[in-house]
Amino acid sequence: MNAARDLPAALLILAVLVYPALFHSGFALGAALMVAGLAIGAVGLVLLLGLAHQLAIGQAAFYMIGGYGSAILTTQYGWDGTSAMLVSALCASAVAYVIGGPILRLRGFVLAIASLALQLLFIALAILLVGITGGASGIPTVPHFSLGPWVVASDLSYYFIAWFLVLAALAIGINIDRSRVGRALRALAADEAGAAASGINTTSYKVLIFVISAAMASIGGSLIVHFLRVIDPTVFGLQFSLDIITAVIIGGMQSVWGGVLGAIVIVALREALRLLEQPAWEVVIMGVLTVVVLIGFRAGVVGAIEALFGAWSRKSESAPGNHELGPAPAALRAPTERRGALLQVEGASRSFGALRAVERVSFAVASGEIVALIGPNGAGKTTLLDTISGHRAFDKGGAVFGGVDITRTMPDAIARAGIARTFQAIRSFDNMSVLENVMCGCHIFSRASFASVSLGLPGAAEDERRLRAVAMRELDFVGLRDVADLRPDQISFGHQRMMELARAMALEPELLLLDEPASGLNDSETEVLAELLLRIRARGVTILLVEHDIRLVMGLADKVVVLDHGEKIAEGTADCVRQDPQVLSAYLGMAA
Amino acid sequence: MPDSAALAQFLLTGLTTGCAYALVALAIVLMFNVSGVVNLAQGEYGALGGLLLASLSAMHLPLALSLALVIAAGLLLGAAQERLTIRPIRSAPQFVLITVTLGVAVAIRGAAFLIWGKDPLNVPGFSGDDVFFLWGALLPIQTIWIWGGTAVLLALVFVGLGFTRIGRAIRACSLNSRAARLMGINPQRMTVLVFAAGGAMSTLGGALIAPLTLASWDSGLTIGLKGLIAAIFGSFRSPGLAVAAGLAIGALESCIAGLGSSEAKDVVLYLILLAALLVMGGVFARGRDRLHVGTSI
Amino acid sequence: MTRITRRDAARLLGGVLSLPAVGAPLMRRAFAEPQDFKIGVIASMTGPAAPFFKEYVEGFQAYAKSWNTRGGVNGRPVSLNINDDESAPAPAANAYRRVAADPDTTLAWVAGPGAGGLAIKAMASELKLPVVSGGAVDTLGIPADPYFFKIAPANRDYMKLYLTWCKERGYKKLAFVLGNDAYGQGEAQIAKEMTASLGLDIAALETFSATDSNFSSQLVRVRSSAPDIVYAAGTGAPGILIYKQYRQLGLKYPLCFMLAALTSAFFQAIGGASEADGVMTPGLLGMLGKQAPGESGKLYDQLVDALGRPASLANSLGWDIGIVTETAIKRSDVSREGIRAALDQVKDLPGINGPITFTPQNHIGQDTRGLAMLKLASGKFVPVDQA
Repeated sequence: MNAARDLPAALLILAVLVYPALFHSGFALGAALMVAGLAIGAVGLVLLLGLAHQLAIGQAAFYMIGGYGSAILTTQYGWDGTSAMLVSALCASAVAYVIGGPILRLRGFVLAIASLALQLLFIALAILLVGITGGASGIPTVPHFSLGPWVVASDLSYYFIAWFLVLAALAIGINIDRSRVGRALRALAADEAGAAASGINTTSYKVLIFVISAAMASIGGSLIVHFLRVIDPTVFGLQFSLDIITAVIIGGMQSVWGGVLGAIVIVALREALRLLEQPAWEVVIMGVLTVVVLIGFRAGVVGAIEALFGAWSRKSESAPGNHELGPAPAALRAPTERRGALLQVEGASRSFGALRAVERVSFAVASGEIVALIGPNGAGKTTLLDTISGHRAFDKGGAVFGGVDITRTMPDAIARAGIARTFQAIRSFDNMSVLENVMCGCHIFSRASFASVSLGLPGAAEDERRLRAVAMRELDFVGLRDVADLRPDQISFGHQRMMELARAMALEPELLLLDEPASGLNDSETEVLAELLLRIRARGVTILLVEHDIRLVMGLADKVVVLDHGEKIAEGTADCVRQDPQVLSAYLGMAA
Repeated sequence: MPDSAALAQFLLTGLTTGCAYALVALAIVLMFNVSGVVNLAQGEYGALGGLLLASLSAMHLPLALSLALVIAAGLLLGAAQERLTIRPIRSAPQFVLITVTLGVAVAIRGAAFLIWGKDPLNVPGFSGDDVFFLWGALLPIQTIWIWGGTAVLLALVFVGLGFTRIGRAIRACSLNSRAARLMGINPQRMTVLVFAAGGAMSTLGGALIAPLTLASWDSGLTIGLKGLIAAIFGSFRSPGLAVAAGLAIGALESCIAGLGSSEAKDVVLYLILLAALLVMGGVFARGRDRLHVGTSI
Repeated sequence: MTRITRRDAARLLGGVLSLPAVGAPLMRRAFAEPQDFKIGVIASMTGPAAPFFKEYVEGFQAYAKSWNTRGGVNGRPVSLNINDDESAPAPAANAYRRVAADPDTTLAWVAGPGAGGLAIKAMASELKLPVVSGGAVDTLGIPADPYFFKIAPANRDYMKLYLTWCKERGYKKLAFVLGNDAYGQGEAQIAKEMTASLGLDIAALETFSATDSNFSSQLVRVRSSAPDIVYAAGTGAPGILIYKQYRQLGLKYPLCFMLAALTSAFFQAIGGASEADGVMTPGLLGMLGKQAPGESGKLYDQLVDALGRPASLANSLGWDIGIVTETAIKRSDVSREGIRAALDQVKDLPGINGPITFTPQNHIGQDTRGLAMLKLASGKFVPVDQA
């Protein structure tokens, strides 16, 4: 238990309990219930927008599913409110799954427009299907919410149920935020290619969080409808969608607390303007606030409170610099017996338009070797590495890893199969600490189910401890223990390279692909790197590295493959290649 | 079965509405290519153009002067949007930039509501409110202004992009802004230019169509959304495709309402969009290069 | 990422927190003044239905003014607390809760589209604040909710008048252009039922949504159905555009417009009321102004006096709500319960738009006695047979 961490939750619970005693008019309770309904959906949108950086404008579409689902099931089929709420949320999740799968593969902003179109489609359908939805007049006879046989007739009881649900959504949101799921979402938001290289299936995580946010929105919709006791096509219209987004942005999209605080601000603003008899100002104020917060103050109200009162966020969870190493955890990946070549590249070709970047290249990497891929600028080294790791597609030819064809395998699956990689331009996740960066690397060893993660069950905590220990082991291995709690942009460039290496090693790979690991390093750093590569090999990891620094390569590599203009021009031991006339002319030609 | 006159009526009135969508779509695509920002506020410029013209024509200013003022307002607002809300956070992640434009859209809507109120405003036709026949269809004279104005604007844009120095600079920026910078082009200046031009295009489009649709504070949403849908069908890359898609959406809407049922119009349009997106996501995104490793230069 | 200083943070927090802080004293002020007789008004001040229902509120205000010159309720001045329902049901229901939660409010007046009224009606028996509402949706008044009263004839009455008149005139093929909102969907339902029973044909039934601006598809289909007469509905922009495009497309069939569409904004946008000459509407007596027969004309004069200018139809409906409310309050103990019971007993009370009667089974206050087929001639409504 951590006081700084639990204080906000304690304060919120206290506020929820005290509020009805201070403001007991129906009006005040009504406002608090609207806040609750908005807050649940806003928490879901924080996960989607703040963590995964996916903008969905039409979240009210899922409120409609919840609202209409509850209204129809309770009025026409006599269900109790709770079952209707849960079944509607399942429907919303199913819809999100079906449309999210394909759309989230497309560029981020397509979701924004697709979700808006979905909402407008639902509105049109609600008007059209008079027999089911009551058409434009809607369903004006929604009963009170009920828990089985218990009908929640008083606004006060309903208020407590609603805020219990808000707290539950908040708890789930916080658990997700602090778990491997939250890390995976932040990672794919920061850098999709880097996330995939760590074995994170970026599309499925985006879909997962879209589904969760849809379920939350649907529950918010059910809540509001049982409060209003009426649903029609305008209740969850465009303005409501904008309310959710504005709430998240003003509240602060980097923390799930932002959803709750933002909902309070939006409803307070609306009621204040109503009392001032200036409701016309609402829309323009919301728009301007959105712009101002995004430009000058992206952490929103939560960020402001943090800046004022200090520790209140995931940053404060772990006391800095106090990571017990403990006994080094055992290897997580099951060892496999390998015979012959670990990696076999056959006739690999890849072109970009008219440019043939890689042309019919074949070579093999034996288990336990260090193989270097060298060649002048533009020789196609990085492209070749990208095709092996799955980040780019082969045009022709392919690769076999440990006897399995990985030619058409997605990068995250290749990572899970045991190929880790680093990038020429460092792909760090700047939105989390160095330690968390490396924990993303051992993401694939997480065993806790999503349910136990989101409910914060003991298994999830145990899992976190395990991943943390593995990550610390790797940070220790590369000598970065001391900077574990800093952010990547706060450490030196050389350290960033080491961090990326640690992240790759956390995957416990059989094969490590390194793209110019020494570029940007000074001489002493390069020496440390060379020594580190030997230690990596000593751990039984095979290395394929692309490198410019010939001295480094010559000292380390068991075998050298030379590319020029996309074609392999030589292969052999370092000494052998050094005397190859074709290699000499390629390098001299470059120098000339 | 509807006769050919009815068919012509659906198609031609649909194309007229489509002109407004096409101009918005074109502006969105140009802005996206140069700046990487999807401007969700673009439809609001259309609404503003109509409202401004309504106010100006109520003051009995000459038409040419009114239109010039509408264009000037579009130029200024577009440039202001870029300078005030895009440039300060140029390096922010893309989703933040898009969300900011959403905030701008809401702010413009709210301001229009405050200034012009909720009642739809009448705008007299540029050459009166008479009608003419074309292939059996009866069309208001204003239709000619809309088609002509759109054609002139499109010609200006495409000729400008293809054959002028600035047009080449804009195209260079959209291909690769770093390379363009190395060639002495200032991408920031191009961005503000494109925002200003896009703003003017959309306000003029909104002003052209206002005599047929009335000017209303909340009309920006429909125009903007249809423009965005058209831009999606143009893959956010091809200005020509986006314009064609905008015109097609207008015609399609009108034909669905006329040939099918007017009730199903919205349902059909949004179903087509979603289905198209699902297909695009399901089929075209299969290739593995979707994870941009980054263009090397 | 911009770094946040404490000062910035304090400013933002201060700004956000001051919103409710500004609201609190106002809230107190709003609930002060208990000596007033407070009526909670729930009306469409914004949104598509606003042009019509804002005029209702003008009628309310005029009535409250004249009521106060008579001394108000037992010497307490009548004050109106106006709440916007944004032309949508959910804000209407919310506003009703808010009004009902104020112990100083004894009564609510409602002027908004039918769906909002229905949402309020669904809660009326629970919150027990009596409501006198306008609106034309039948189900507002039948089945009757003990706390919800509706003046003005219902949709069914308008349609009945229109269709029987069509039958008398020999119009057999009827075309309809209706909105897809609650009002339009209700009208479509009634039209289908009644034409069948009267032996008339629906040649075309077209619908549109409130955001549409291009109605040529609907109108071309109307044209190809070659009807004897066209009935069009649609408030705000759609009403105006349907009318303009009907003329532009050169449709020559007799045109009957839904009453609520013919607002001053409508006439202004089409270039003046005389531009709409020949348009018919199944109308209320209030639209005839001074020319209305009997009591109606006299009551109309009182409205004009209070308003200080010629009154619109919605003004007169607002005034009728005032009439029935004042009468019921006079016959009651001025409690919520007492006013409700008194409203239930109102019988044949003269109103501008026909006599008002409530029974415990029927809370639709007026009927076809308040209706007449009207026509616009030289910018004025006259009985259709006069023209």
